Amino acid sequence: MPSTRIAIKEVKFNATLVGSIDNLDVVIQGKLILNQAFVVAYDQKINSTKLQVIFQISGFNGTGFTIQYSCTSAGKIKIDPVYPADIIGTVATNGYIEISLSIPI
Amino acid sequence: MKLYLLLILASISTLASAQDYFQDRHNNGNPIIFSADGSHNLLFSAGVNVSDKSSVKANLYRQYWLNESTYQPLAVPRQKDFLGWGISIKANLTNGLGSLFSAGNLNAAFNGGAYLAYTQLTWKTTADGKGTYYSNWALILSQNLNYASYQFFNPAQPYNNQLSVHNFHGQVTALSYVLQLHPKKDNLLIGASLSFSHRSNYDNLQSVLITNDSLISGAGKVRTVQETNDNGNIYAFGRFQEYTNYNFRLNATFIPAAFEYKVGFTIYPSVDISPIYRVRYNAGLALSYLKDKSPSTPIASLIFEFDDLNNSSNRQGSFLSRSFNVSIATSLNILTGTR
Repeated sequence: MPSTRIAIKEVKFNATLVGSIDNLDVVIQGKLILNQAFVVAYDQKINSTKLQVIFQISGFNGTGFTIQYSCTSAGKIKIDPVYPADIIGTVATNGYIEISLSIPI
Repeated sequence: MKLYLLLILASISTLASAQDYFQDRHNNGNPIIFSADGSHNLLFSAGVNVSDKSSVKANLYRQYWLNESTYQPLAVPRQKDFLGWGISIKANLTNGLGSLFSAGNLNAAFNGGAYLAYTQLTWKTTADGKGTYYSNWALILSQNLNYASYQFFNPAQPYNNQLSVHNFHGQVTALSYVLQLHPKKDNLLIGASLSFSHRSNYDNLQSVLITNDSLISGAGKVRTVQETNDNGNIYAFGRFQEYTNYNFRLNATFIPAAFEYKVGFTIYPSVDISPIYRVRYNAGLALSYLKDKSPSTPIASLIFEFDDLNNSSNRQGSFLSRSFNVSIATSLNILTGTR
């Protein structure tokens, strides 16, 4: 039976959120990554084909925000095909919005 | 150690992130933080309130994330708990801001205090089970001491004794609660506060502007109003009293999507109970112009207050002249964060 081997890669992910929100939680590969003033820095060796990132944004309805992110895997730049550039959004309903990235690495 | 700075213009009352809760025409309020990511955990704020009783104030607030080690970001429901402390100072200017800039006068009245705040952020499943609903609340216990140097005019005294100064020491203990909701597209903040204080009736006395600095010679008829008087030339007259006051206040702010989050409407009725007056009813209204794409950040607020609606202190004059007050509030808040 054939087996698939996934190489362990060093993945670096950085993101900055700009906006007057109440709270930002960033979950990467299922774990909460603490941010400092809405700035996230992640540097880990992982054995996966995708980097899963979830931004949980809470605040007043009507609050606009911009997320800038960058990702490298083994030194090569990687992007999410749905969000290839800066993410511009607004908290529109129930004071909460969730944005998920799935970056092939 | 890294230091982050975020400038936020303006403030008023019940508005959110790093804003004052229960601020009013008297520039009262306790700034706390809802930027509860554990990094925006230090706040310095300064504000100016322009009205007939103008004031300047500054606050420092520090908070700690209590359940950081057990927090589960993917669970619903979930919550974050914070405990914070703050200190505040405020100086009133008897003669308005003019005296501040011209003579650096800050000693007409001084208020300093400390407060503790417990805040909780919660995330729950929406009623239809398809989304997440965010809300938060805060409970604030504050203790303030104040000092004021009051000036009195007593026309019944001999001419050279008609003007006097009285130093007043008071205190305020308050417990405040605010709940921040985001129903569908709108924003709503609801709060209540209970306080007891040792205060005076100075603000209810009639005031007079004495600018006559001429010297009138004669037996016992010499009165000099010094132009360099630190407290200016406004004097109160009437029966001065110190007393204990109990105040209960409700507070609601609505920021509707219908106005594209550009306007916030605030209402805050209150009741005062004291041994020297009948029950006293007050009401306040505020209109806030909010920063574009940042409805938690007021740029400026226009505050209307109707004090003592039932004239429990038996002041003279028309309803508007004795009860109605208006002011504009703005401030600069600086968030700093370290970990």
